[in-house]
Amino acid sequence: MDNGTKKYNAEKFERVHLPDDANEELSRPQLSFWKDAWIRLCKNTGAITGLIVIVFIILMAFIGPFMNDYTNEGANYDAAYLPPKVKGLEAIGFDGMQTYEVQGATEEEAIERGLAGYEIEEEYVQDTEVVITKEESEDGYVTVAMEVDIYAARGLEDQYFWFGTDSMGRDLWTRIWSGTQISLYIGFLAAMIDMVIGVIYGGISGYYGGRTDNIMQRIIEILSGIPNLVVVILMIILLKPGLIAITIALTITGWIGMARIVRGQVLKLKGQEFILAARTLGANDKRILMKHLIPNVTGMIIINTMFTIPSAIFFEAFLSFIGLGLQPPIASLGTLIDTAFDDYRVFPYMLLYPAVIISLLMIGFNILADGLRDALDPKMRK
Amino acid sequence: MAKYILQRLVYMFITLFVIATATFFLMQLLPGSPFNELGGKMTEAQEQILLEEYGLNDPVPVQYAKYMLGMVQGDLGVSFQYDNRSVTDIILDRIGPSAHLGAQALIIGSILGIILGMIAAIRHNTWVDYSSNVLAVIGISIPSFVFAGLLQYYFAVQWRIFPPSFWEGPIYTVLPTISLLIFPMAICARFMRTEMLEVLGSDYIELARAKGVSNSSIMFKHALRNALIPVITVLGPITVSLMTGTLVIEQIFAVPGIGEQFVRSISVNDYPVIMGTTMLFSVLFILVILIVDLLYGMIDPRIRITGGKD
Amino acid sequence: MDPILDVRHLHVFFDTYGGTVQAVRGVDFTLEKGETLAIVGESGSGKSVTVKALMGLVTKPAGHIPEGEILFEGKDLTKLSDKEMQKIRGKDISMIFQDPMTSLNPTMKIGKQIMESLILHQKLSKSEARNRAVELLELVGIPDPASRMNQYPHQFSGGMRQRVVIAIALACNPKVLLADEPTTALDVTIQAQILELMKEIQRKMETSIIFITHDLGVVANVADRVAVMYAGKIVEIGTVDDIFYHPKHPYTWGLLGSMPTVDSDDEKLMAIPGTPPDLINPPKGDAFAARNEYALQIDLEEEPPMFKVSDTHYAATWLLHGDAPDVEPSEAVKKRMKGIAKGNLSAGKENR
Repeated sequence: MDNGTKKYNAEKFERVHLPDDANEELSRPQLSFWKDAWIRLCKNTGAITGLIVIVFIILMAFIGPFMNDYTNEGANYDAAYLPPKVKGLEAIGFDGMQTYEVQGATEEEAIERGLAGYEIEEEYVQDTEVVITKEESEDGYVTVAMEVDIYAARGLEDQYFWFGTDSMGRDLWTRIWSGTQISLYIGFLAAMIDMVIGVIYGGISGYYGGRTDNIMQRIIEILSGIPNLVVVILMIILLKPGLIAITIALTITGWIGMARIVRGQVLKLKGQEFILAARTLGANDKRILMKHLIPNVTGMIIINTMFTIPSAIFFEAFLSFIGLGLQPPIASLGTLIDTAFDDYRVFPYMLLYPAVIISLLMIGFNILADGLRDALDPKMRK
Repeated sequence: MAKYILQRLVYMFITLFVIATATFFLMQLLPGSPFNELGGKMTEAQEQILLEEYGLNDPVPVQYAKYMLGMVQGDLGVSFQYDNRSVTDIILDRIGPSAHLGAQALIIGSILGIILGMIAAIRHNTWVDYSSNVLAVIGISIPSFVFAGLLQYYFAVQWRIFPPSFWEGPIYTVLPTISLLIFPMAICARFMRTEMLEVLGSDYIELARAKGVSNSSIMFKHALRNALIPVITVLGPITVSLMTGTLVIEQIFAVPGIGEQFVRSISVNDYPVIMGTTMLFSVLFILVILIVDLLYGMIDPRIRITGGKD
Repeated sequence: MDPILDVRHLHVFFDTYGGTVQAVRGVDFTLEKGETLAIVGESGSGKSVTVKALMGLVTKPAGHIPEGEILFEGKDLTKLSDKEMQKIRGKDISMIFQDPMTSLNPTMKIGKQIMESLILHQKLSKSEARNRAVELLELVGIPDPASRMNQYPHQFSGGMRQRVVIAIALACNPKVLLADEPTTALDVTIQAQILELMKEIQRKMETSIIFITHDLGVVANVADRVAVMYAGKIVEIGTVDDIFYHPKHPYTWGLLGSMPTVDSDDEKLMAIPGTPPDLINPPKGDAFAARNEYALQIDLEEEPPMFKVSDTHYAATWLLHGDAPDVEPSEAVKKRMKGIAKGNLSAGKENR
C-alpha cells in the first residue's frame, strides 16, 4: 500500500491555510423555512396541479358570468331544458341535441306520444332508435330513444347556451359560475372564522396552561362529543336557511379542530429551549407569542385551514341537498346539484357540470392541503 | 383502566345532557307553531286542541322535565307528521335498512381500504402507490351525493345493470352501498398507508429483518398488527360520514331508512322526529368514540397494562 | 488463518431527490475470529451504513452497492439473493441496534421475539425454543426469565431491553456480531454493564464483534483494533495502541483532542472546526482537507492513499509521504494522549 515510489512536486506539499469561510461553501446553501417549503411544494406535481385547478376555478367563478350575455336570473320558459351547445364544438357533443326516451305499444306510437308529450314538431327529430324491444321489456312496451334538435324546435337556432339551461330557461353557465362564487365565499369565510376563533382559543389555552387550560379543554371535550352534523342541522333549523346561517352553523363547532392543533403546538413549543432562552433574556409574553410561537405554529394553521375550506364547501352542498341550504334566488353549487337531481335522468347535463366543478374544487383543495402538509411539516424535513 | 372508563362514561353523559338540553331549547326558540305548515288551514280552536294534546301549552320547565324524563325511559315524544305515532316507533321501524346499509358499507369499505393502503405502502413510490393515492384523494374529495348521482345515472339509468331505487332485495343495496363505502375506503387506505410506511421504517422492523425473518412474515407478523391499531381511530370520522351519507343516499336511492325520514321531517318541521333522530345520531357518535378508545386500549398492550397513554 | 470477514473496496450509495449520496466510498478491512474491531467516526461518516451493508440491510431500490465485495467465510455476501441472505442474517451474522426503546416490536411478547429466530434458523420446536429463550434471557442477566418471557417491551427498562436485543442477537450463536452504538442510548452505569456483558459473551462464544461507536472511551475499553471513518472512508486503522498512542491522521488527532479525560486540568476540549462534507458532491482530494489545520496543497488535488505505518497500522494522509513537512499534533492533543496512556479515560462518557 505504500505509494512512496510515485514522485510529486515538492510545492504540492506546502502547507495551505484555507480561508475561514471555506467550510460554509461545502454545506448546502442556507434556506429560510418558507423558501425551503415553497421549493418542496413546487416539486410536488400533485399539489401544483391542485393549485392550478383552484386558481382556474376561482378565476372562472369571477370571469365566467361575464363571458356571455345571459344573466343569472330572469326566467324564459321558451328556453327551458336546453342541452349544452357551443359554437365550434358541435362535433364533440356540444351540439344542442336532446335525447328523450319514450315508451309506447309500438315504435310509432312511442314516437307519436313523445312528440305530443314534449310538444315537438316531427321535422326536428334527427334520429330514432329502439332501446328496449317489446320482447326485452317487462311491461310489454317499446322504449325508443328520440334525438331532437331542440334549439331549432324552440326557434332558438342562433342561441348558444354553453352548459345548457335549467327548468326556468336560465343559462347554466352563468348560474354555475356564480354558484361557484357563493360556494367559495362560504368555504373561505367559514375557514377564516374557524381559524381566528381556533387560534385564539387554542393559543390562550396552550400558552397559559394550568387551570385555564384545564377548564378550556373540558369545554372542548364536551363540544367535540357532539357530531357537527347535528349541530349544523339544528342551527340551520333555528336560524332559517341562508348565507349567514350556513356560515354560523359551520363555524359553531368547526373551530375545535384548529384550537386543538394550536394548543398542542403551543404546548410543545413552550417547553422547548429556544422559548426558555427567550424568556431568560427577558422577553415578555406578547413578544414570545408574536415572535416565537405564532411563526412556528403558522405552518400547522395553514395546513388545517386548507383542509377546512373543502369541508365547508362540502357541508354547504350537503345542506342544500337535504333542503336546508340556500334559498332561491341565490344559487350555490350545492343548490344547483340539488335542483338537477329532479330531472337528471332526462337532462343529465344539469347535474354533470356542477358535479364536476365541485369535485374538481374539492380534489384541488385536498391535494394542495396534502402537499402543504408535506412541505410545511418539519418532521418531513431532511 | 376502570377509572378511565368511568371518567369516559361521565363525559359521555354530560355531553348527551348538553345535547338534549340544547336541542330542546332550540326547538322552543323556533318561531311559530309546528302545525302551521302541516294542516294548512286550521281554526284557532283546532290548533289549541292540538297544542293542548301535545302538551305544548305547559310552561317550558314542565315541558323540559317531561322531555328529559321521557328520554331516560326511551320515549322521544310523538310525531306531528303521523298522527300519534311515537318517535321511538318510527325510528325502530326505519332503522333496519339504514343499519344494514351502514354496516355493509363500513365493513366492505374498511376492509378494501386496509388492503389498498397496505399494498400502496409495500409498493411505495411505484405506480400502484400513486394510483391508490389518486383513488384515495378522489374518494375523500368527491361528495357522496355527487358520486351516488353518477353511479345511478350510469349503472341504473343508462346501462340498466342495477335497479335505480327502492329497497326490495340484496341487488337493491349494491349502488347505495358503493356510494356510502367510498369515503370509509379512501380514509382507511390513506391512514393504513401512512401507518404502514411508518411501521416499515421503524427500528423493530429492521431488527426483525436482521433476525432473518422473511419479507412476508415481516408484513403479517410484525408490521400489520402495529399498523392496524391506530387505524381504529378513523372509525370516528367514518361514523360521521356514514350518518351524513345516509341522509342523502337514502334520499337518492329511495331507501326507507332513518336518513330519508329525517330529511322528510325537516321539510315538514316535524320537530319531535328531528330531535329524536338528532339524539340517536349523537348517541351513536359518542358510543363509537368510546368504543374506539376502549378497543384501542384492548388491542395495544402498551395501554392495556398501564391504562392510559400519554 | 483466513479472516472471518473480509471487506474489499465497499461502496454504498443512496439515491435521494437531491442526488446520489455516496455514504460509503471504498472501505477495506478484515475481521479475525474472536476479535473486536471498533469503527469510530462522527455522525454521517458512514459507519452505520457499512454494517448495514454487511447485514444486507441496505434497502433497495434507493440504496445500492455499486462496487466492492463482502467476503464472509469466502462467500461474497453482496452477490447473494434476498432469500440466501435471510438464512445468514440472524444466524451467522447478527446485529445489536442503537436504541433499545424502539428496536423491539411493541405488540409482540419478549419471548416470542427471541424464539422467532430460533425456530427460523435452528428449526427448534416451540417448546425447545422456549427453553432456549429462557436460557438466553438468563445469560444476558435478566432476573426471573421464565415469567419475563410473557411480557411486552414497554414493561422493561432501557437497559433490560438492550439485554433482550442482545439475547435476540446471540440466539443462534452468530459468528459475527455487529453492534451499532449499543450503549449510546443508555445511562452511563448501564453502559458499563452492557459492555461487560458483551465482553463476557465474546469470551464464552468466541464471537467476532464489530463495534460501532463515536465514543472513544468505549473503544479503549472493548476493542482490539480501531478503524477511524471519515466521509465514507477509513482514514486510519490500527490496534488500540496504534491509534491511541501513535495516531498519524490529523482527524484522529482531532477526535482524541475532543475527548475528555479525568485529569485534564484545562477544561477546554479541542473541537474540530467545521462540519463534514456533503456526500452528494464529495470534495476533490482529501475530504478532510477543509477542516484540517495541517492541510497541504496536494490534499486539495488528490486523494491520499493508505500509507503503511507498521504491520498493523495504516493511515490515509499525505502527511505520511516522504516529501511532507513534519507536523506534530498540538500540545493539547499530546497531553490528552498522555492522559489516555495513563488509563484515565472517563470511560463511556457521553460526547454526542
